[in-house]
Amino acid sequence: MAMMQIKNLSKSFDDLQVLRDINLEIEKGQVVVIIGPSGSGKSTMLRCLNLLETPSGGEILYQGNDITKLGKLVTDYRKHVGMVFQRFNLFQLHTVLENVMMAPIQLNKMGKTAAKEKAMELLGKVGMKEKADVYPDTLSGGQQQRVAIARALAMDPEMLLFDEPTSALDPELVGDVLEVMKRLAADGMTMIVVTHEMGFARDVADRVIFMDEGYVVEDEPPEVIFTNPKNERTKEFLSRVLNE
Amino acid sequence: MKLYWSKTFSTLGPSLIQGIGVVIYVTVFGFLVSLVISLLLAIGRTSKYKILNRLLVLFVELIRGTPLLVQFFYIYYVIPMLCDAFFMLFGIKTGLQIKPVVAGIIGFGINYGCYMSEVIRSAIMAVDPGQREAGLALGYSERQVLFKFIIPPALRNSIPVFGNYLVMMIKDTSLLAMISVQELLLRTKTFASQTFLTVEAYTLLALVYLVISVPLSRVSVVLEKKLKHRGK
Ligand SMILES: Nc1ncnc2c1ncn2[C@@H]1O[C@H](COP(=O)(O)OP(=O)(O)OP(=O)(O)O)[C@@H](O)[C@H]1O
Ligand SMILES: [Mg+2]
Repeated sequence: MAMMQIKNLSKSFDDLQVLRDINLEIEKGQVVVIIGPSGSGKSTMLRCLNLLETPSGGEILYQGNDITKLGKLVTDYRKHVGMVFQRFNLFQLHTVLENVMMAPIQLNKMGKTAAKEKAMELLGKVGMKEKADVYPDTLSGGQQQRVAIARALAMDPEMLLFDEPTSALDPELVGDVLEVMKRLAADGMTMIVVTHEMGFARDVADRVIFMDEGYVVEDEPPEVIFTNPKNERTKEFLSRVLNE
Repeated sequence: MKLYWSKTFSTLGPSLIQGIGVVIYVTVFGFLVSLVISLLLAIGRTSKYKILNRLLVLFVELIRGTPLLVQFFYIYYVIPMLCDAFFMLFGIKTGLQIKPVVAGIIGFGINYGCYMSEVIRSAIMAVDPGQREAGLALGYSERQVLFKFIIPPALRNSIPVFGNYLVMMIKDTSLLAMISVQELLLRTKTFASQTFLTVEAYTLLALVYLVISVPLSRVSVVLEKKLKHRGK
């Protein structure tokens, strides 16, 4: 059984329909990249997957359970599915180390020493160990994003959602973040990544999904979608972004 | 015109120093109460229950729409009478009285609490929504997010404004002369009416207020600069 099954998912904001009848299955260990023009509903879909947005219709099954029916227990579900945001969203009044070890201590009842040890290990993994004791606003965007990834990993998630993790970064800082994400993918993390980094999609994705006007228009391995897209809209979008 | 400064200093001076004690006492407790009330009001206003929200808005409007001095009178004179009348229904004589200083602290607590709750509220709304989303995405509940990631930066950003309110409260303690609190103005008034040293007395009074509030204002400016350092 797929790790996550999305069935007939729809979402409207008042009378604006943003997601239309989305059906997807995501297998454990897969890296799924979502591309599409601005306003096509990529962020909205990602945010529905951890219920930061409440779907208007359809089901989202995680390990067979419909998460749209969880009610208050949604907080438990969210511990298993981490999220990395375009604008990092680190906790400004806390040091880098605190940002990473706080949630495991407060939500997973992890001991302080163990949590700190683990946080340092994760910060090492993303190359931010030296900055453990500084505050987020002293870091570059790329550094903040790597800390944000460590923070998400500290909860031992089974799946990670990325919403344009490199879009707010200066071009020279994008590489470091993508490098960390590549390593995560290689370690077998299940990832859903909304991005405009076509290089990352080509090299790392198992599947690339093209969204337009709230529909999943195409869902293919990168070799297929980049060389031989079936849909006219996919072709047009790709020729536009690849020729930039 | 001949001015009698040394007499004013030697007689009114010691009395004013005692008065400063009263002012500090009322301000410290009044401010603490107003902090608690403002926080409760601001948190109450984040509630999803519409009725609670409406009631709190109404209360804040009621307080902000009436003068502080009237509120002091109300608490000092009217509330005890209402209590008396209420308990008389059950045949109990209370003879309740509120000490002027206590009426002052309650009045300041409620009045400033309402104004400061608006400060905290707008600071809460100014916190980047990304902080909330990051907390939720990690598995914190809405309530945990509010207390861990939204209220702390909101309070921090409110501190400079609170500093201004503190200085204002110190100056507003002069209103308490009207309900017979032995603060600075009442002492000066009594002295002036007994000695007719009106110019000296009120000049000294103004100086005392300046000596208290100017350094405090400075402190809050310095604090504001320090706090700017981290976060926004
Ligand atoms: N909270 C909201 N309220 C109302 N409309 C919204 C809300 N969030 C998103 N929308 C609308 O939904 C549509 C899809 O937005 P979404 O952010 O999902 O697009 P996107 O594909 O992520 O675009 P981008 O590439 O610009 O990030 C847009 O028209 C947007 O204006
Ligand atoms: Mg988006």
